[in-house]
Amino acid sequence: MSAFPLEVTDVVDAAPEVRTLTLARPDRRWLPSFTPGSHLVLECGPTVNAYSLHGESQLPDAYTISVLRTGSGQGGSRWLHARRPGDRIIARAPRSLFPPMQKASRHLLIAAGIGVTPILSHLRAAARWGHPVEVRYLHRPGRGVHLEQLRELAAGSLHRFSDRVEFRAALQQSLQRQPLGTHLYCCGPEGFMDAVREMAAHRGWPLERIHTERFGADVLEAGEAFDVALSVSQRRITVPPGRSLLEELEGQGIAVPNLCRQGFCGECRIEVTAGVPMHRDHYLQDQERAANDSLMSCVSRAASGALEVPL
Amino acid sequence: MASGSHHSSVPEWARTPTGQPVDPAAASCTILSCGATSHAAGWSRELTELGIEHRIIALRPRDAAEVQRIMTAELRRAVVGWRLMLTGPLAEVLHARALALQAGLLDAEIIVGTTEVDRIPVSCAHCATTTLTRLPSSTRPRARAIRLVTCAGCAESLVVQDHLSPLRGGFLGVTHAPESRLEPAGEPR
Repeated sequence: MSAFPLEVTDVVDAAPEVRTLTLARPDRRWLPSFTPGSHLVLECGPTVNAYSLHGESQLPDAYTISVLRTGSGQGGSRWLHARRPGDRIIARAPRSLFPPMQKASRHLLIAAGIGVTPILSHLRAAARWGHPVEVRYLHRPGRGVHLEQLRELAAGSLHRFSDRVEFRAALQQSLQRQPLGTHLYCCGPEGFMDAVREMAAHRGWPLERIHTERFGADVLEAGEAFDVALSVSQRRITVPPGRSLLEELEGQGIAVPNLCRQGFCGECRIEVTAGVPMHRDHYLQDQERAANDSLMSCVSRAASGALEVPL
Repeated sequence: MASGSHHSSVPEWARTPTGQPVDPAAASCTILSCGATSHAAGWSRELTELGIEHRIIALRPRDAAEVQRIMTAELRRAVVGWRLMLTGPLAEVLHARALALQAGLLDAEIIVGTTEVDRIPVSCAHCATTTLTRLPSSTRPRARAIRLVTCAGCAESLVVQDHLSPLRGGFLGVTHAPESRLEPAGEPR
């Protein structure tokens, strides 16, 4: 995946501890369009983080992200908060793991805290296409992010909450009266998303209508080194931390069909004849995962010890 | 080999008369029954025990217009959480299911119970007409490959494939000798 430099063109405080950065190409050419709900992977000094894009998605001349400052010391969010206009940041092309469903007749958009960023992106798209939406946003008092844009885009269908109990009660009601083609999108802390998913499932929502964004949890840890026995070519290779099995196989001159290299297209699936994979993809179904007889070589690794593959 | 271990577009309930279980998570249900009174009653009992609001609508067999009308009305009043439960002969179930899927209902929102699977709809790959035919289920996997059905639309001789099209509500039928029949030599395109 090719990386490219972006220049910080604007920095604005969007809420306490939240900073909105506008990023453009140094030569100001258009940036790649992206699917609403996509995120951008940025090299933030010592770490690599993903941030939801919430600006214009069609032929954008800039990308905008909003960053909540978390933790202390060397974190990526602190590094980003220290950027100033004119600074350069290395980015990788936007990735879509939280897209709007094309067949949805209505979108129920649910956010907590800084999780509002991909929801804003969805809302922008829905407003553009005239799709019916309902927005439910839970945030701490005085800490709402991008409220003005939400109000502008959602108007009467925006419901804000600063009280969890109130939010839950109102959501219960809402979940019971959504017309059939509705899809639910949720972004926020893990516990919040789990609670929303559970409430919806309890009201009979099939999982296929519930979509969550894991805050860029897919930016994977480098992982530990593991060995792979190649039973056909009778070789044994070691995959070091930070490198994928796919990259290592390519380095050995073994071609593996591949496309997205992000664990969701399924192209680089390879058979596993021994050992237990640590699945980190978005492609395999639960049953296929449990079978442990294949893995996505672009992202998945060994759970422990070594793997054997018929290559 | 267990049928579930192979990827197939043909669900178990289309191969043998089978009832899928009720979904205990459902918020409400509509049971459409095409002559399957006892099966519908069984589901209804279970739903009542689970405290799930539901109603039963009896469909007249082979009245496509009525099915369309009822389905449209049900889908219009439905909210997410609702389940459509279809029971009756395979041909009627597939027809109603196709209408529901076309309207945006998900597979997970449709529960099926078949009472008979010998009469199967064959959807012509060439003219999209559906032709009903009889293939006894006991011999079906082998018989489908060799049995020819004449399409009621284009009169092609169709080989019935072991592939079920959910949106067309039928098994795929492909002409017996595609190259020679469909593209006469020298004909301008």
